[in-house]
Amino acid sequence: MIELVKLTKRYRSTVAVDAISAVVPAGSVTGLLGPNGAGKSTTLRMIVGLDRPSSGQALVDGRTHAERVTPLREVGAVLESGSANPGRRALDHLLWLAYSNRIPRSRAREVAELCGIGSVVRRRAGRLSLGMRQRLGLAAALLGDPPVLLLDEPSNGLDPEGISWLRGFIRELGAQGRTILISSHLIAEIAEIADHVLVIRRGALLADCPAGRLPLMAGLNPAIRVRSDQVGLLAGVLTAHGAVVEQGAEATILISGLDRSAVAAVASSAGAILTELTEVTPSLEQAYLALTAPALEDAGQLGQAAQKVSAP
Amino acid sequence: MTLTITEPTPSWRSRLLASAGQLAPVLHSEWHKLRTTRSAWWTAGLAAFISVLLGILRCSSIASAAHPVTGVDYFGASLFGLSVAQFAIAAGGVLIITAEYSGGTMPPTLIATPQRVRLLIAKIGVLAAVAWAYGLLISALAVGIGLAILGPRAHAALFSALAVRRLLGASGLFVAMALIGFGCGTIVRRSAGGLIATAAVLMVPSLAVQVLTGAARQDVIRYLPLRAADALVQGSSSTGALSPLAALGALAAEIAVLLVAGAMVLSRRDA
Repeated sequence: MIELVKLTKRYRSTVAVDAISAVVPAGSVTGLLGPNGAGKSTTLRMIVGLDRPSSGQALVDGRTHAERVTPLREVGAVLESGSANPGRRALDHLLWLAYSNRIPRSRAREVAELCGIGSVVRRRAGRLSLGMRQRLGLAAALLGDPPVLLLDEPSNGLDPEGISWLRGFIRELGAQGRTILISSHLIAEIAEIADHVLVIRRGALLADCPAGRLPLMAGLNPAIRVRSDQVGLLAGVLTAHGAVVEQGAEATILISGLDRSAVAAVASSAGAILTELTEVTPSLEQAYLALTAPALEDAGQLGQAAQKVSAP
Repeated sequence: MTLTITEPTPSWRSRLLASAGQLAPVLHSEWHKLRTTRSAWWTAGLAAFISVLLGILRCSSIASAAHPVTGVDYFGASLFGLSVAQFAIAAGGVLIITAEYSGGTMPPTLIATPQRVRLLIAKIGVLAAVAWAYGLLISALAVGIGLAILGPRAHAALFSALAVRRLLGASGLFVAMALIGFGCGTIVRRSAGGLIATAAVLMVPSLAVQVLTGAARQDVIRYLPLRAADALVQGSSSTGALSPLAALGALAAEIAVLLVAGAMVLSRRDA
């Protein structure tokens, strides 16, 4: 279990992480979602003690990272693809890490095989492709067979084949009962594997909920799409029955506030012929975009943010 | 009635044993890292090359002198190259740590060993041990080659207690230079900046003392890193130089300042 307790990271003029409190349940695959610069990496770095929180704390199984004696056996982290010295052989990278936590030498080869880089471990890290280096990072994180894994944008730089491999691999690791916190700015990457999501924007926590409930959190309600030649007539009758009706594409309307059978009953009594009646659940993607899209009232702040970004 | 249970305070001995036990895997790890760091090999190779080459040139020039030179320090002549090679060793000390920042291995290192002072102690221990052994090897090699060139007249210089002391001093010089570079690299964290800082630490003080005059200048100058390091290798105390033991003490104090500053930077700043 990962607990963030009012976790805060302040730099001189900016707040990168703003008093985030959240719990990543043990055994869950949790997505840490947010646009670029939202504070995802800083959050992960504070969990493993690379960045010192300005206030608050990050605990894994009730302890801070500095309190661990053999950290690699408790938490594995893939934070940056370039984390292996380019001049060092991949195997040596795994070995020095293993030695530091009294992990047997043989485990280095084992994780390399597990991550599909068994045949290239004698190459220098700098001569590996970006995808191979990502796998090396993953292998390093798995050295201590840790029950908790932190992955920061793990599919960066992977080709489609690599991404699909990674997705399956993460799902497998999750099925072994590991707690996995995986950050991404792309919901599509997370949607298929995460059962829980944390959404952050500009350092603040916007949502902390099971993945399936994200649309609800974003205020997106399920709607019913109806296709008919008589949409005009239908819209009037449905509104009279208390539904909220929006014009959809072509000869369709989107109805919320009534369930499917109620819509069907109203249409039937009005004598309208329906050629389609579909329940439309907003996707995680829509929910995420709705949550992270800057609201109009933030427009001024957004301008400032843009200036900050453009400043060198 | 309440029962208070206090945990027995572990004795300093058991605490020392425990922390030594926790240091062992970090030493193992840092040793493997050091011997798979390319800049370590380059700088070590460069230092060996310079030591041997300059030693050969100096000894040959003495051996081929038309008139026999009197009062020559044959032993010192064969170690002549160290005065230049020491800069390669200092550079090696810088790069050992700055390559961790530029190569991106600092985050995984700190994730694996979050106790930053323990990590630094392990790094210092491994670097000092390697520099010591390598220094002894290179100095012995340089002396062997030098005396072979100089021939029988130099043999007296070899078989003496002083020779042993000077060889140990030479390897001490390697350790001192490696740690000065390492300290600067730990403080600055970037290769270029670390090399400049090391050059400054070694050079600037001897320029700065020019503001002093006469005896005061002589008093201060012998404590400066390069002078003290030189005193470790010298045979007879040349005028104004520190004794080898005093030189060792001066260097130790200077290195300690750098390393403590480095430890503070490492423990306080985000990686």
